[in-house]
Amino acid sequence: MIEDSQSKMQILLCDDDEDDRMFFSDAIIELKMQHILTVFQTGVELMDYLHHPDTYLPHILFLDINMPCKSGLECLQEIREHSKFKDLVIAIYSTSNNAEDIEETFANGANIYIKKPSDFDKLKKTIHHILNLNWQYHTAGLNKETFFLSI
Amino acid sequence: MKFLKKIDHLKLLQFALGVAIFSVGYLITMFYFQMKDLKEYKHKIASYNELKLEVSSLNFNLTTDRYYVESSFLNQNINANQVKNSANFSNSLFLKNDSINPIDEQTKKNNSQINDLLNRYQNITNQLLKSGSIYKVKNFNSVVKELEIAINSQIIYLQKQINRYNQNFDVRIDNAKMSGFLIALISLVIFVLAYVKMNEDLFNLKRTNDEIVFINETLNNAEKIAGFGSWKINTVENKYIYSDNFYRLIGEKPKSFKGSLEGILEFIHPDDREMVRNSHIESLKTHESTKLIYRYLLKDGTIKNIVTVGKFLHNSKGELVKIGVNQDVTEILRKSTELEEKNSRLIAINSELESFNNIVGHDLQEPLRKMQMFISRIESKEFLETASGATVGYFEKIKLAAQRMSNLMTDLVNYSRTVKAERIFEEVDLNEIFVEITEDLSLIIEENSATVNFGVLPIVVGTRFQIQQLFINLVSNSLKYVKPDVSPIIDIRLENFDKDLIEGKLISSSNYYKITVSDNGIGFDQKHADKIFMLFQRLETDAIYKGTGLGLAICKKIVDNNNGMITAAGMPSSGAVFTVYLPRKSK
Repeated sequence: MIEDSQSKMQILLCDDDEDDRMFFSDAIIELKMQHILTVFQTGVELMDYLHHPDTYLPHILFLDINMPCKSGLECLQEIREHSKFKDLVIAIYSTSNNAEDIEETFANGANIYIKKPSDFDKLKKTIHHILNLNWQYHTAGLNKETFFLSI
Repeated sequence: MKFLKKIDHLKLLQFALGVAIFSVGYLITMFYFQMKDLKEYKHKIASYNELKLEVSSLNFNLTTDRYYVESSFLNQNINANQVKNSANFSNSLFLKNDSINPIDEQTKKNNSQINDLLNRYQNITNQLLKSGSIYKVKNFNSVVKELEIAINSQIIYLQKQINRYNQNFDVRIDNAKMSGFLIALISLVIFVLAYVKMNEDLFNLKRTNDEIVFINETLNNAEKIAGFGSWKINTVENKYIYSDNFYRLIGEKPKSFKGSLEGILEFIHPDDREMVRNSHIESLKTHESTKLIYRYLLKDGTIKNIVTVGKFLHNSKGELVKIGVNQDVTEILRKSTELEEKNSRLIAINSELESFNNIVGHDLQEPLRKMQMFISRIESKEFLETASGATVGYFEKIKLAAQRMSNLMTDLVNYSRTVKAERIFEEVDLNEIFVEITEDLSLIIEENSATVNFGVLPIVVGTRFQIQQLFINLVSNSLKYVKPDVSPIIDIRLENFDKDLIEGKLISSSNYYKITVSDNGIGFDQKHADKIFMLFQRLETDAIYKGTGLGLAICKKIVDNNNGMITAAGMPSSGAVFTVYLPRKSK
């Protein structure tokens, strides 16, 4: 298990919507990739997990914005405050494509913005694209145009 | 007069007046000295005259004396008494001669000569009285003769002097007459000049007066129309003067009562009365300008809102005067309150609309998106392979309906965004915009195997994302309404034009660019050209055309927002041309 978590890609998803969590994990399964997906229902759960001393640093976090109690933006700000998470790739995963949300998450240090697709195949394509992205390259050339992912 | 006016008549008048006054002064001085001379000459003439008379009488006496003596001696009968008389007479003559007043050197000399002769005459007379001889008579006679000659020459001299002074007197009288005439003449000139000046001043005064009367009348009318009333308080005489409309404002007839502080306070609403009184009294102490807002309560119960401003000035007598203007702002206040209410209602409605937009944009789209997700899940689960033909058909309809709803909501959000968008104008290069648009629409362009051509396009002034949305919508529109089995061709071109009349507005090429988007699609009937840009107006009802009735409405809105114009021209089944006028950068 420990070996697993070190060799395989560690993916986190934080979304309060049950259906979206299901679509996401279905897509991961159908993609048949060697990943470990950990799912959280609330921002509070996510932050508790990240701050736990036994937690291995994940590679990528898919973060919804509109969540009760602790919003995605708050989680984003909290994570970026800690230097130990500086290499964690944060992909915003939201229904909203409104300019303010995009602007704010970009300014707060998210790496990419994904609007939740309305087609399952598109979702699979998106996840595949994200997981195979060269993050060093992407982050270096990151600007407002490349931040919003359009597949 | 006109000529005088032309050359700065006032200065000329002043100059002429100066010269005239100087001349008069000079002439008066001259006149004075001439009169003084005249007096002197008159005096001298009188003196000479007197002298002449005296000398003449002396001569006469001497003559009688001589004849008397001569005749006495010839008769050899000298009466002592008579001679004595004669001697006495000569003595008196001598004495008289003493009294002769010498006026000048010549007279003095003559007088002394006469005196000498008189002395000799005295001696001879005395001798004659003593001895009485012919010889002595002869001597006496010669002395008398000499005396006569001297007296005669003196008389002639005096006559000459009198004549001379008489002549001078005449000349001086002539000069004095001339000076007097000139004084009178110049005084007349001064008087005329002064009259002209006064007349002119009077005329100006009258004109100014006319103007003041006119302005006053205008002011009265203006006050009536604008709901103003003005007032004036003389703080020294404690006099209150109101304009006609001031009385009207308080619902009284003009000049129906005399102004006073208490009198006017009666018309002020009881709640405001103390405040107004205090403020007024305070201002009388500080002499500072005042501005008050209060209410009138008129006798008929009407309440008026009044703004009054007061200010202190000094009048021509140096007395402190408070002047001011009252304005009836009841109507303005009512309207602005109404406006405020409407405004706040509008703000409330707007924020409601905003939340409605959020609902459409997010909350409604969220379940729809999930429905579409499940539709795609069902499709991939090979469920349709086992289903009946009817089920597959229904399923296809569900899918289309969901897609349509999604499109509609996206357009609605876009439309509302266009309406409330901030207007930040910048230079937008349409060439860049079209490169981006063809990339964004590449999938649909490919699916329809369409061709999108665009030539060299200009740089317009507008809000970038809106201009982009505008052309996306126009191109999408052309891609949507295509003829079956015909490859769509869309041309975007910059057109040359001089002046076009659009909706009664003249559009000139110096301010605008004209861009056309033309296609070979299904077109439309020109009589619907106006309807085409209206919200939710769809010309095509055929189910294969998936329009929402919003796309072109958004275009119209964007063009309005960017100070442009848009028109549509169509021919059924041969295509449509959309013409967009967008502002160019001002030179």
